[in-house]
Amino acid sequence: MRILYIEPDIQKARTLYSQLLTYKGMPWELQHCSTAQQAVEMELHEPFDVLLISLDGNEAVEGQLQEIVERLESLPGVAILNDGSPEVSLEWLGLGFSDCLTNSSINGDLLMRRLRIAISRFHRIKNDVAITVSRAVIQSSAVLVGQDHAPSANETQTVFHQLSAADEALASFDLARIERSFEERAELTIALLKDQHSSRILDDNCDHQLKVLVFRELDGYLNQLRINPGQFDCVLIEQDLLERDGIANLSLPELRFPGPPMILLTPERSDASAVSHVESGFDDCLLTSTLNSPLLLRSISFATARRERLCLRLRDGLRAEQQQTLCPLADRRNAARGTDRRQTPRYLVTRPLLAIPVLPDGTPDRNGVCEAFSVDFAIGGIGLQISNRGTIPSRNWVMGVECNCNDGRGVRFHFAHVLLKNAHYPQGGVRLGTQFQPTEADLFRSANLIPAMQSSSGRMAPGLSAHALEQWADLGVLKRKVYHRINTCPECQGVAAVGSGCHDCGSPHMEYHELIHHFACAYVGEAVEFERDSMLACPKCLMDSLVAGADFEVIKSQYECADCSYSGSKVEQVGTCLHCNIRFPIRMAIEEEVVGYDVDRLDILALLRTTD
Amino acid sequence: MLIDWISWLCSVPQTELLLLLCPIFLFDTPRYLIGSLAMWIWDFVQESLLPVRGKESPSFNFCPSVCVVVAGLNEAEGLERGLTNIWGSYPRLEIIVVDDGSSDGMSLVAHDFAKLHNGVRVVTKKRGGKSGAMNTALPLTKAEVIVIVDADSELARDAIWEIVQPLADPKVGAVSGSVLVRNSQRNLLTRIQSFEYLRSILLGRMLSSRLGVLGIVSGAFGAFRRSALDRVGGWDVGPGEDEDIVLRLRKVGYAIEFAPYAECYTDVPESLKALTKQRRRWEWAVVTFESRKHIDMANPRNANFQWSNLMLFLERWVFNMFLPLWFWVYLLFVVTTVDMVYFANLSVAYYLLFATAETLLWLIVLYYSNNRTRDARCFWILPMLPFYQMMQRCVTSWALLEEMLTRRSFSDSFVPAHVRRTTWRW
Repeated sequence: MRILYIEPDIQKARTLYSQLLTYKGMPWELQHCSTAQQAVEMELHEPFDVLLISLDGNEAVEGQLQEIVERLESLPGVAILNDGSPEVSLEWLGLGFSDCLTNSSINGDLLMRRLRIAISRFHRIKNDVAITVSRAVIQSSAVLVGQDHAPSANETQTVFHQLSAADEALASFDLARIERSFEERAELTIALLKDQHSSRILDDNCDHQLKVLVFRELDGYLNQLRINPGQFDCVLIEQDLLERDGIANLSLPELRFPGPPMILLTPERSDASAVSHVESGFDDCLLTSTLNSPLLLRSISFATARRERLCLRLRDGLRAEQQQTLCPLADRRNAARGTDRRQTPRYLVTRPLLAIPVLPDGTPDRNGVCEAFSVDFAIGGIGLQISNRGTIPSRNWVMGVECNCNDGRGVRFHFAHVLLKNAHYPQGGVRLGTQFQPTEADLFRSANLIPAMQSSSGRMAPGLSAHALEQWADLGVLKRKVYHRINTCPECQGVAAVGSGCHDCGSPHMEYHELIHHFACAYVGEAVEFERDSMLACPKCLMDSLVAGADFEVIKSQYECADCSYSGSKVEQVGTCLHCNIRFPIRMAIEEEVVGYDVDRLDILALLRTTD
Repeated sequence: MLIDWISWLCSVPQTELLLLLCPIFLFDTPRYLIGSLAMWIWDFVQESLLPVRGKESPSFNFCPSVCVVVAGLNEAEGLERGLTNIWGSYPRLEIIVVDDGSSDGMSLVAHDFAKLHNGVRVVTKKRGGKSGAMNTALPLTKAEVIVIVDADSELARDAIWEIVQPLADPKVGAVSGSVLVRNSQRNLLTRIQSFEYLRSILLGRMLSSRLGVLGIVSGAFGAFRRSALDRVGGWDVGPGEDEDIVLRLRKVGYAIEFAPYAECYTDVPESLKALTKQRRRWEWAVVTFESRKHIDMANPRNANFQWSNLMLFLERWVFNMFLPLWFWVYLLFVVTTVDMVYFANLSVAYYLLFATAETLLWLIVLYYSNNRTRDARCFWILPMLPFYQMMQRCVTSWALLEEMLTRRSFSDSFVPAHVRRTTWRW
């Protein structure tokens, strides 16, 4: 563990260092600096695990605090204060510090324990925030798309039915709830699970700002949480309960973020177990043997403060993300002029379309196939209208556009895979803005249609499943085509590599004798015998600078098998299965047709050229 | 007529007759006859003593790893029979078939065979000549002995066993097999060649080998010590690469042996044209290698000089180059100095002498033959051999002159054009 310690007073730094020397838990390294400026520079050059800063009225340090606070986004910070009052500590926590300690209570073991917990907590929260923001952005987009067209709740759910269950769970995430100010609330509601000892401590010292609800079973708490998710501000959990109910890994979604912060009350003194608990989701870990009322209250208030800070960060993060990724229709100005697709030239061309929804497994939704007509075309996508339809079963569609490409094959459908970007619900139908899928996401990309070697089966097959391809072919979108006629393994029908092999054992490890026949003296020897000083010279008659064709010929007809020592010129045509690796004479191979699929791809430019 | 000829023979003084018949040595027959007779007498005596010394039963004690290299161009027709004959005839055997750019599906035949038989490998390459084809097999095998066999040849039982035995002696670098004629019953020409092969290869090489002057290992069937081939870098560009490799091995000190009972049956030319082409090539090689490329072997000042090599060269120079040309000088002398009757009588005398010599050779062949029934059938062609010898003398002289004067061998299609362009002209 590498600790960056900011302390202007060198004597105090030495004192702290001597205190840390008593700690034997894990290797550590302390780097001291006097100013925040130095700390930032040092941290830029070599990464640290934690920032420890002494904030006991040092004006020099506090003047540079802005730079420190900015670093706290990427580095866990622990503050050491002279003043032990909770209000001051909460103030620093609100700025982003992970923990606050008081000078009077510090010893080496405690400091290192708190530092390790702070590091674990920092990384766990960072991870939670990243996951939550990404999921919440998806959910927000979904809501906003629906909001623009004022659909009913059911329609919104229909549009995004393909969202995963985890995403659905996040639908209950209430952005507004995290914006509540803790100061405005009269009291903190604490859920206390199981314990008698800590219950007594809380009962004895509880002031009017703390409301404690005790649950003897985990199920009781979870039921209460489901009824009123925002009821509790903090949860105290006894380790006995975790061990009994077997939820040590906090796998239940109700217990994970963004649920209320949890503090573990544990009899274990081990730092490592405390760190692992924090990593698994607890906000703090307190020793029951040293538990007292001020400590417990301080920990609860710190947890809620950190929670508040986290929620505010999350809110800001979400808003920033939403500004970048939300559907353009979220902005009324954009909605008025269409999507970003419309920033490119568009052509008002009305053509009959065949719209086929694509299911998540790549198969066509046969029930959803409908006729439509195009509203406009652009290089990037198609605007279309589907009559007599109120719902949109999928965001992925295959559009067939009726084209006559003057290639002598008449009018037929040309297809493209598009992604739904926006939807309007005018009278009697739905108007969709779609965007062509990029090549790597295109359902009909070459890799999906043209057979290629599949490493898992050892066979030649297209990338898309045979079931899906057949369904598309049945609909007339894809056309079956024989791409290769190959030799396959008689055992597993895997693709066989065909080549020359040893006459005896079929091995390809054949070492050919390359002989040179010197015409003038009729000497025949290995090619290496003729090599001399970067030219060829006959070892028998010593004639040098031999010219191929005029002076000598190369005879390459003999080989020696490295596997079976067979020597000769006879070679066998041998197949080697690329899947099961067996070798077999090629006459035993099974000839097989490799079938792929072809599609008439929609070419917008060609379409526009043929349009009056 | 016979009486006239006998009276002429009796009228000629003995010294003059001997002088007139001396040029018989201008032909090959006495070349083989004298040595073969000596060898036969030696062997006959040795064999007569065997019951006293105890008979040695032949055994194959030496069993090195062998790689049979079958290199050929457009040899699809007889390849399968040849490979079937080789495969399984020796325990530590591998076969490498090198198709030197055939267009008749030779590699397909070889591949089909290799599919059903282990240890057979096929290499197909662009045409680069027989030497390159045989050399191609060398880096591909770790065998101790390389046996070369023509694609259209057929080995007798235990031929590989027989041919590798002399290599048990580490001084021996190569062993020549006994090449016999497979298509001997095809026509008169092939029957004559079948006896010629028996005489010149079975007897001739046996004698040369015993004298230590064997200078050729047939491309149709021969065995080489791998280390010896590595030492000389394999075969050089042909034609006549089989003779060239032997001379190079001799130059570095290896001995060359002959395995008379390592028999290989090969097809010989069935037409006069093909036979003439083949013999011209053989003669070209003699001129190229013995009088140009490896002339240093006969130089006593040379560091690697050996008397056996000098003897080999002298034998070749005399019998293969000097006497064939001197024959025409002698003929011209006789024709211009004697009348026609005398010339006719002399020719009859020559003929009878030739026929007698060939008959003696035939008897010696039968003595050494592994299949006397087969070889005894050659008897009826013996009267025709003097005429065949005359014809060969013409071909030999023609080939010698054209190679000496024009280096004809370097434009021969036996070696592909792109190789001929880059290789050295000796």
